Amino acid sequence: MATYILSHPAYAKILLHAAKYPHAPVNGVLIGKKSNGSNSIVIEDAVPLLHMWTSLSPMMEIGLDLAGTHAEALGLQLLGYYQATERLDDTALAPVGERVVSKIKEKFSDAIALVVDGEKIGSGEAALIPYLPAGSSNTWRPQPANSNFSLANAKSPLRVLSLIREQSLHEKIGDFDDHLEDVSIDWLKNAACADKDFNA
Amino acid sequence: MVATALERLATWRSRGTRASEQTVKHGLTVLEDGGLKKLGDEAWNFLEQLTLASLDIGRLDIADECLEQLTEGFPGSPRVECLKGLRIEADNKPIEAIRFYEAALQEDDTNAALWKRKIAVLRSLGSQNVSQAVEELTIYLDTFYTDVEAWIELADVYAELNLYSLSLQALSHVLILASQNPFYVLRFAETAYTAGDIPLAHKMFLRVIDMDEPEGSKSNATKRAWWGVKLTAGRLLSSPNTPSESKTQPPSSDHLRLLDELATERLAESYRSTSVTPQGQGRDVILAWLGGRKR
Amino acid sequence: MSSAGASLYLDPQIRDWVLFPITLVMILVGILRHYVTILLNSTPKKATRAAIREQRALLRAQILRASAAKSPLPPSYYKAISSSLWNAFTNGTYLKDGPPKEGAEPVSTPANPFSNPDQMDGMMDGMKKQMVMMVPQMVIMGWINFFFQGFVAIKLPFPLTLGFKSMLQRGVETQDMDVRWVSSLSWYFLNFFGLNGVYRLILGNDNAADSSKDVANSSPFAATGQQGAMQAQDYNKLYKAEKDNLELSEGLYTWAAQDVELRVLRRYGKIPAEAANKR
Repeated sequence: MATYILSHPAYAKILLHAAKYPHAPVNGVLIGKKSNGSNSIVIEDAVPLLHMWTSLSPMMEIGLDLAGTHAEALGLQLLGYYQATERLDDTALAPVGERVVSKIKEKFSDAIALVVDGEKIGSGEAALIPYLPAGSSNTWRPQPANSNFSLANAKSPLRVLSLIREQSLHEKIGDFDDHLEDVSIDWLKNAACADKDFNA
Repeated sequence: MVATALERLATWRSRGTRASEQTVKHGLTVLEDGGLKKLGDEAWNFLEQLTLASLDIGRLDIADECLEQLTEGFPGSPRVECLKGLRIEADNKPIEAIRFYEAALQEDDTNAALWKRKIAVLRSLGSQNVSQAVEELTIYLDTFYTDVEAWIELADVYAELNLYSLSLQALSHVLILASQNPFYVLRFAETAYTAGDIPLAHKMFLRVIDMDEPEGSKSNATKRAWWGVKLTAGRLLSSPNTPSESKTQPPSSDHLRLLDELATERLAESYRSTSVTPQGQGRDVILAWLGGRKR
Repeated sequence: MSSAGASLYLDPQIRDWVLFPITLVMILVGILRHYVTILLNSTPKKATRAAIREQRALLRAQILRASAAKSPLPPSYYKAISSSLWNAFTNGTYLKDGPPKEGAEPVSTPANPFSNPDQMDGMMDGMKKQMVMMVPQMVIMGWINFFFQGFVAIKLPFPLTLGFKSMLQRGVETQDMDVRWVSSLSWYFLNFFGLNGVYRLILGNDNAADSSKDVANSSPFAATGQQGAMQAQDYNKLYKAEKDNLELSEGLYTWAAQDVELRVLRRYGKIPAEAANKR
């Protein structure tokens, strides 16, 4: 079983994306790589895609392709999908999410999906539920806590909370939908939101 | 003080502006100064506006006061019933709210506002109640056909449930009810693509561009439509016999090639830096993608 | 023959005791009428949802047909809506009382006003309104005729032809008196038509004391015409007629996106403007 480690910039961007659009479902993709030799997969970054018409596929496909090219340029791969809904108690992986992550799985066999758990956002734990395929079937199941998924930096959740509350950093993140309206928005890198210097 | 407050509130009322914090601030000024009497008949509209605004920002105490006065003045009024329902919703008691709406609808099933609130609450409850929401929406739309917002809501729910052809059917009503809006055509195109009807999506993306006059205006719908044209032209060129549920004829392959070129040009154009706009971000990635799709 | 120049001298008491009272009474009665009408206005009969649905079904077909030329809908979608409406009209799905049972003819509200309770109310309402208009008029006229008859009340500031003599000088018929000297009844008529402006000032624009509306209302044809004309109609027949319209529109239908690729290519100069038939 592979282990997954979610880097701080990736965690930050996922939560910031969700915080920017609290009343709408949002989704995006995860990029990273599998370290040579071991079974550990590092999710280096997240690329936010849509916050409107999230059930419709054309822009999602384009965004996916573009993110894939971007990942390759960095020596990384597309390896997962993330989503957040506007309802606190809804943590099911949406059908469109299943489709996307299954497609990603065709190229990266250890693909993973992450669903934001709205109720955990205030706590100090990671507010994410990982989804992996159950057995050989195509159904994706939520993984229990303490499974093979962990944060690279345990202080990420609280740090991101303070970024939202004190700096309103979530207003600075831009996704593909935003980019389609204004091409000067850097949705692939979102450098302002990576919080790279945080090394608690 | 009171006069300006009243004036602002009246303007917001006539425009339907949702400036809730400000509304409550001004509303309180009016109430404290006994301005309610000065309003005469307008007092009721004012109270309604204040109720909605205070519910919006969570000042349930003010909302309750206003509701009390409104209920006294207009017992059994459909508008007041709707406000009462909203009050229950604000308490985070969705089940109770639904029961309230159902009871009120039993009394008067022509109150469209109550229906829509009930449907909104059902939808917010998530996947278990979604089929009921769909049922209610369908019955509602059978009577109140011209409610575009409701048709969009229905299309949205169907799309969430993966029922894309039903979503398209709902959108088809939106198109004839509001035929001049390119965003609806765009949504139809994207839904058609998701449903697998590529030729139809291709034509509808082109239609969005067609509708954009004067030529060259950078409406957001047109921008997305060019991406859609590029995507669909590529698909149609690589698999010329994609089936179309609606039996739409795609353009000839000559024309498809030209359209592919045209879309590429238009998209690349928007990433070029000019004296006014900075260079588009991720330009290399975009150009690589655009170039790679040429056939 | 006294010439038009010889003027009669009118007692100023006529002004105080005739002109002002008549005007005052008419204004008050007008205001009273306005409020009585508001009170009498029973809440408009609430149509049930089924009735609304029945009425608006025609609207659906009209909306569809209005989009037929250069329609935003692709052909299969247009036909789908058109056929489903056509079927619904055939089966009477939208009728208030629902589609008919097996074999029976679709029943819809007959046009006979007495058997339809909704329509009866409409008629009663109209009659009540007319009463409110007519009764005060008759009462005031009678009152004036009784108290203010037999003398000249005012001199009109404008000249009139002799034809008006009989009407305006009722009670003081003389052969030679200028038509400009008129009786109090004509003062009443002047007020009747002139006080609209005053009513609008006092009661606002939408007042029920407006006599110009009265005149239109007093004709019996107008009265029936106004009772929510929809209620009187036989929806089944309307639906059948609409079916024909739908078929006609299907013939007229064209898709806006039919040759859209050519238009877009031409617009951006990818194909020359005339070469429209290159395939």
